[in-house]
Amino acid sequence: MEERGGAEPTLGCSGQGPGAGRGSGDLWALEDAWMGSHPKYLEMMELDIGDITHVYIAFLVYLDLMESKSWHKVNCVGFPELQHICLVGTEIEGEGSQTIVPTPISASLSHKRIRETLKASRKLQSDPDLPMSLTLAIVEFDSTIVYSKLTDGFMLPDPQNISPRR
Amino acid sequence: MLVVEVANGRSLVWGAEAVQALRERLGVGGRAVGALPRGPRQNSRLGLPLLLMPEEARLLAEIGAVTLVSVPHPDPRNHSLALASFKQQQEQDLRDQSALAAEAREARRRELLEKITEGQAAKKQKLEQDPAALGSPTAGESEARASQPAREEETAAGPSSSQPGPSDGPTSLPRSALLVQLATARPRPAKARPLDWRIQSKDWPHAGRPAHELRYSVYRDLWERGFFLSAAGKFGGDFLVYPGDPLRFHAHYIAQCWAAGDSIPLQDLVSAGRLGTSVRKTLLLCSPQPDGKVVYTSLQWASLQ
Repeated sequence: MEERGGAEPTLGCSGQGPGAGRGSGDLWALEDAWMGSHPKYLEMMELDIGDITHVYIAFLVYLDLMESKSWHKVNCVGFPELQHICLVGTEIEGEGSQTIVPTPISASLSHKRIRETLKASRKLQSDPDLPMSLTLAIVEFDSTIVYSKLTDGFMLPDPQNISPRR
Repeated sequence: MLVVEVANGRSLVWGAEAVQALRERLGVGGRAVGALPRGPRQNSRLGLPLLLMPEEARLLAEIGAVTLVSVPHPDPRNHSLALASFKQQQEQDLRDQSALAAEAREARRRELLEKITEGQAAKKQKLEQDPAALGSPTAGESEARASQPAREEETAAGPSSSQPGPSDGPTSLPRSALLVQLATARPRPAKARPLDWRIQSKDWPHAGRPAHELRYSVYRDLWERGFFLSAAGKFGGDFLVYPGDPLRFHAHYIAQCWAAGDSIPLQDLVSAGRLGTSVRKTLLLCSPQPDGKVVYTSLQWASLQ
């Protein structure tokens, strides 16, 4: 499966020592783990938003986008009012940016919360004329990541996917 | 005014014209659930009655397009009485139809009377001429040939000429030839109490239920936007949202109704989103707001490469 790309950082880390790579956030703070000293990880820690698990999953998504999906650039932004770390990235150089919201699978989101996050992410949107939109990156405890695109209002299904009528 | 009969929370439309009007004029499709008279043991093509979702029935009542009525419950003690009256009616039909059939036959006989007498006269004449033909000189073989058809004619004419006799008497129509009318609407008007959808009752248990109120707000808003809706049980949603008549279009959205503050487990969101995308539909999260508006969020599985 394509989303398995997210498993890479975990495998990469498991070589650092026994017990690492189980996916529990505090293990990543071990000084001998490269992840804990990654500049992006430190940058996320400095945002001082959410607990360490939150930073951990945001970092996993960052790695997936950069290493597995080969995105051009990904920045992290903190939303203190929502207690969320968001990633703003451009897939291909020169294209508009997309907002990615990393979320653990165990979380439950209300539709109200989704709307609040959409509204907050509008500030980061490259083209304000487009409908509000963000991509939810849902991280499984084994670091599998699945992406879902959320858009305000009615978004027609992908036209190229509509099969001709039989 | 169209009539929708409600019993135990299920709303049924029995009139074919009403079903057509709902579909074509009001954009409410419902679902045919009745067996066809000629195919009662199949379920791929169903006919009347039309079953409406509670939301559809309420909307139609709210906009004043239909009257909801409680179905009159027949008393089981009167069942044998109803059966007797049905049988009596059938006997009456048989007698009426026998009389009509006899009348029709008599009329046909009278219509053909001229031809029959003509035929009888012609035969008589031929028989009279026959002895003369016998005496002609060229008659050797042709006599035999000519007389043969004449004799055939006689046997053919025989029964027809004798028919007027017995047909004068009473003939009975065989029971298997009895024409039976299948009613597509209630044949006799029955007294029915109007039903108030605002008040919870045995026939309308939906009133005031949070799930119904939630679904209704969303249903009404989408309907007002011009969408055509049907139930979405087969995709695990609340409504399938079509841009027009479902016979002409595929659904674009699978609508899920959520109260704004209710938490949605992310696992459910992922499965619904992926299922929707794989059947070429968008998952639509719908939540009514305190101000009466409904907000929509589209969710699509993003296969980032």
